[in-house]
Amino acid sequence: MGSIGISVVRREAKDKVEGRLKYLNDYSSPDLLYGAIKTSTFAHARIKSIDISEAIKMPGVRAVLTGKDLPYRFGIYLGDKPPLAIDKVRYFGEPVAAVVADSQREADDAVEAIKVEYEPLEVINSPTEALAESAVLIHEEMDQYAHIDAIKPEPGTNIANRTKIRKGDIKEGFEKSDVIIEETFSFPPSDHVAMETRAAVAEILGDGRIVIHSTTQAPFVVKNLMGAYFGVDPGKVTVISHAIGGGYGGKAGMQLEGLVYLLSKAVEGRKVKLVNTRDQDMITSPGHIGLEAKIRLGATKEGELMAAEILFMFDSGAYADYAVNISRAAAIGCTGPYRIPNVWCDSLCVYTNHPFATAYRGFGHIELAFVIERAMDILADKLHMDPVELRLKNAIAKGDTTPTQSVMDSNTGDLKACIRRTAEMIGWNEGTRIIAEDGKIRAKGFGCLWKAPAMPTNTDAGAIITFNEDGSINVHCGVVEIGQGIKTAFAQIAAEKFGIDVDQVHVIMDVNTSTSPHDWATAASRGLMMGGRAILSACEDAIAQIKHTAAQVLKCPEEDLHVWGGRVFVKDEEHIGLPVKDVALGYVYPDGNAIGGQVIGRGKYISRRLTGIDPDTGKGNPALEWTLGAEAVEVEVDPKDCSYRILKAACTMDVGKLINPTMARGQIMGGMAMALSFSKQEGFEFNDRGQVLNRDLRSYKTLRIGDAPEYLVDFVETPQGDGPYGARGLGEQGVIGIPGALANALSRALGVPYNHLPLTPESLWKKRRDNG
Amino acid sequence: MKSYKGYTQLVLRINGQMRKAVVSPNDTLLYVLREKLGLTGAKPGCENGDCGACTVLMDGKPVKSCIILAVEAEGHEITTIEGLKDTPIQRAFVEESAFQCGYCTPGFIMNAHAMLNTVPDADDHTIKEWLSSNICRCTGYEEIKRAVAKAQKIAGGV
Amino acid sequence: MISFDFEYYRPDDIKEAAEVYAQLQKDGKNPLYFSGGTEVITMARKGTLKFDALIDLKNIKEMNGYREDEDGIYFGANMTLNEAAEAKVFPFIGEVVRTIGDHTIRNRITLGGNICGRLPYREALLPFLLYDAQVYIAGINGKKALPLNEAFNKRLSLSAGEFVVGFKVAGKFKNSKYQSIRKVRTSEIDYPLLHIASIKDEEGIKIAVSGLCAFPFRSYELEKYVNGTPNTVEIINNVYRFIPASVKEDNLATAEYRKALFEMSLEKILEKWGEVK
Repeated sequence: MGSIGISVVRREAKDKVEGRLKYLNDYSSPDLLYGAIKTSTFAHARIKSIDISEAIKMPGVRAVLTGKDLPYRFGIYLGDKPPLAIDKVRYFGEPVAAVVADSQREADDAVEAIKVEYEPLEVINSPTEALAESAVLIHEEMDQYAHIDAIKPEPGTNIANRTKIRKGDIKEGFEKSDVIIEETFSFPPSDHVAMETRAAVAEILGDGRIVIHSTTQAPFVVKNLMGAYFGVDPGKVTVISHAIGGGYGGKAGMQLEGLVYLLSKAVEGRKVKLVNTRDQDMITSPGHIGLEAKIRLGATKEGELMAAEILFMFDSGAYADYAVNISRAAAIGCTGPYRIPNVWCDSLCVYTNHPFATAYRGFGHIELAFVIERAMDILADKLHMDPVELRLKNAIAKGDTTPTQSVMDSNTGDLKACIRRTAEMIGWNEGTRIIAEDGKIRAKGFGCLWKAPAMPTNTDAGAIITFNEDGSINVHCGVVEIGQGIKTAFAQIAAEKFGIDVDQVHVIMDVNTSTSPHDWATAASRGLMMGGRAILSACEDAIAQIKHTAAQVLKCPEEDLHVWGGRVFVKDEEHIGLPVKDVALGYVYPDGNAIGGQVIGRGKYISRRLTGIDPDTGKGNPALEWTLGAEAVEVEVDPKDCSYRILKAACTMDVGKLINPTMARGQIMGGMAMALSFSKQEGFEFNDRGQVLNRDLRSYKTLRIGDAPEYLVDFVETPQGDGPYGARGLGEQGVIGIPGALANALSRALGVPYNHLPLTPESLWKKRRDNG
Repeated sequence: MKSYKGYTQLVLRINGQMRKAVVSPNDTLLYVLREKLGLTGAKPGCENGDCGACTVLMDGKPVKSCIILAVEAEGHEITTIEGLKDTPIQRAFVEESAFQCGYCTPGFIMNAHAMLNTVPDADDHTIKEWLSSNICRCTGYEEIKRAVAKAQKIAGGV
Repeated sequence: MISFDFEYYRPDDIKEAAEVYAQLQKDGKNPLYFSGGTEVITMARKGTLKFDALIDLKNIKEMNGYREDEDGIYFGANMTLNEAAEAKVFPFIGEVVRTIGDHTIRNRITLGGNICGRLPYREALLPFLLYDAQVYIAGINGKKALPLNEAFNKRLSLSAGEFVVGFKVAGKFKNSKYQSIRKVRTSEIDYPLLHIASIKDEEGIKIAVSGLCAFPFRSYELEKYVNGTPNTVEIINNVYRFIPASVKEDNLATAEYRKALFEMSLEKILEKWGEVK
């Protein structure tokens, strides 16, 4: 019997193909009230007046709120965001008023009737503009905002956070470099486009208890923030997360929950539902961060990296949310998976008048990797060295140090093996640029990846295991199923531990913060590792309890017993034993006497030996584990109009141990597709007034089935010593190396450096023309 | 001539049953299916005809129910995901893990089911033409392609 | 969700449709003919289109399907784009219309709706312009037939209360050779940056274009010049003299890229016609 390393079908599969799985917006009840929000038509403006007099009189309307009614400042790290704009708006799409009504239609009608007068302010449309000395301040009161210690806002500027990395001696590093390249890179803010838009339902019960149902990846974060923002007793807050229709980071942190709670409060605690329309989900709710970056990279003439000087200017948009931690994560991993002795990095999180940014798959690493991986290819060109060779030469390995000067330990994956395997799969040695008879150019590009979770040093997970009458197991863990298949992987981990069929393990799908053990958040690709560890620990606890009871019945020492395959038995005399089902809910002797009581396995895990980072040098140990890998892309470009097709996308990742091969492949292919879509064709388009022009799926194009390449996926398994069965995180990582790989392939194809995303045919065409 | 003004009772034929609902001419079919008839398998994804999550069949053809008025569906045979049980494409979706979060899945299945009924031997070109109507954000589409191929085999008795 | 109320009528014949339109107008209401509805519903939801009543033409049998008689093939305006693509009498019509929207949407978009819509592309027009189609227009005074190339100038000129019933194409065009090139920004499921459709028959090369300007067009002057000029380079150099409006610049593409695509595509089309005897 073995449940690990096999492709068990996911738990909720049947409900999903029959359309029976209920997402939050699929629930309705006659007592529901409906919320709707009025959003700003300006990107930066003073609010001169808001006239709600007509709206409040409309039929079915229960409440109309504006920013003045809600004197709060939200922000997971930095409290800068009012639930509804107060005095001024800072981005196009910002909520300025909200309505509660008996029906969605009445709520929408009332929103239409609200009249807002604005006085436009100067609009900041990029980090560069925001950092100019004469730039208007987006947050004049930054000095009054509460923030956590790890975040370093700079009042009087538009800088919400600055993270510094100072490793080695940067001056010396460049002096020792024979070849130095210097480049700039950028991409605009974009969106997650989860197919399910965000939604939340809140209700305040008679005794003051608050019940929130939400499309959240982070129910415990919501619960915690409800306490922090509103001073409510956390024990009185219950957050429930159902099946989630895609998250990718966009449903972490506080989303609609705070506002919908305030709406419920405005109608005497009645149940209120708030659902984003697609355009609100794209621009009113937060999206993917934008970036402008500069890099100087130096190497010896043999290609040994000596120095990296990096400036990240992240486009946080109007509010800080997760962006201040994304910029920090990018600093921590700024070199990519390469050994560089001398590193200088300033990573700035900069306010602009764009829609604000939150966590997005890759969390700082897809962003930093685009910069580093393009820079590596440019450097390889200048060195006249094969880019794969350059990567192999500098690939980080056990014993090397990261930008934060922490040592890569014995759990470090085998990046070189990943690079070699990916090169083999994509056919690197068979030519990286081939001109076909029809004039089209086939070219390949490479990009490596690394990622560590960006999370608090005390990040934890918990698990509870209970038993049914037939000896089958119920697993309860606070990690949310967002499509990644985590609940199925948990069942496999528990089944393996007990040596039983995976069908004998039942996993509770919904997460309820009042009944589920505490879990930090379903983010940072740490669910498998930390939740898995907690489940293993709960299994061990349950096994000890089973043995304790069984030892009395079997009249033997507990340590002589083994639990496996649904039985508890004497190790060296296997025929002496009991079915687990006879013990798990207490053993009953033939005379009716009962002993032991039910088995409740408790398990927990907390991250090990993590520290913060030094504010001046970045020194510290903030990374739980690093997942390493290598990716490549092959394109076919029409050199005339620069249109292109992506033929192949390859990835080899060192995942430690494969728990479920099909689901792991699925995560990696999905990550590659998302990143191909992002780097090829996504990104908000702004006019000079900061308005987003492409805010529906007609004009904001994501990859479709006809655009999908052939995927080549393989794994390396260097065990993560502290991971469950040696496994480490892999959910986000597939995105990371792809933007660089695609840009490298296109740069090679057309002989022009492409350093700005998205790589639309027109942008390729224009740059090539401008470069002559 | 049929006409509707304000809220009126409408009779729709859905999954082989006559269903009644009080609707307004400005109600979309998607809204009526979900909010009036409890058929929540069709999902709102964009309400703009772009993503295909709300796909249902009308007289056997896939349509996006977010850009059809409920009153237009009168007299037509509507099939929703709730009307499909253990079809080859549903079995193949499970076997090939052709979804992750599952939100786009009902729409994809309705469209693929109609395609396999209409063009049982659909080739890559046809599959691309039909299924480009739907967006999946989790998978890289490969599992969906494999599921369609498998459903063709299942339906063909292989 | 559409935020405003309206009435809905589904007439059974042309006369009924025209009469209800007239009556609604007389009552001071703003009626709108309605076919596939894909544009109307999205625009109504976004609040960019308002009306008091929709007159759904889909139940008018005369506007459905296609049929062939001695003077040509008649395409009902209610034919969906997929029906038109599958009809196969004119494969070129299929080639052009199956690039519009996506396959599922094409089960709703109709020929009439696409051609009379508010979007600037109206790509379904291109083959009908090239085939010198007759357009049948109905109104309160009955039905009339007009040459499409006369009735269409930037948009189809319809008086209040009029609607398109169908198109007729002469059978002789079945033998004409055809080709088309469509360019998009990044995704095939998108509006065209450029869509050139072209046929070649005994009268020479004919060209119709969508996406380049704010409206689709067929230019006789351009065709005359193309057919009288053997040198492709010369044609490309002078082509903008025959384009009826400025080249479009929007957030899909700049005018210069559209021009580049137009020149490349036209060259390719002419090259191919050069090979066709």
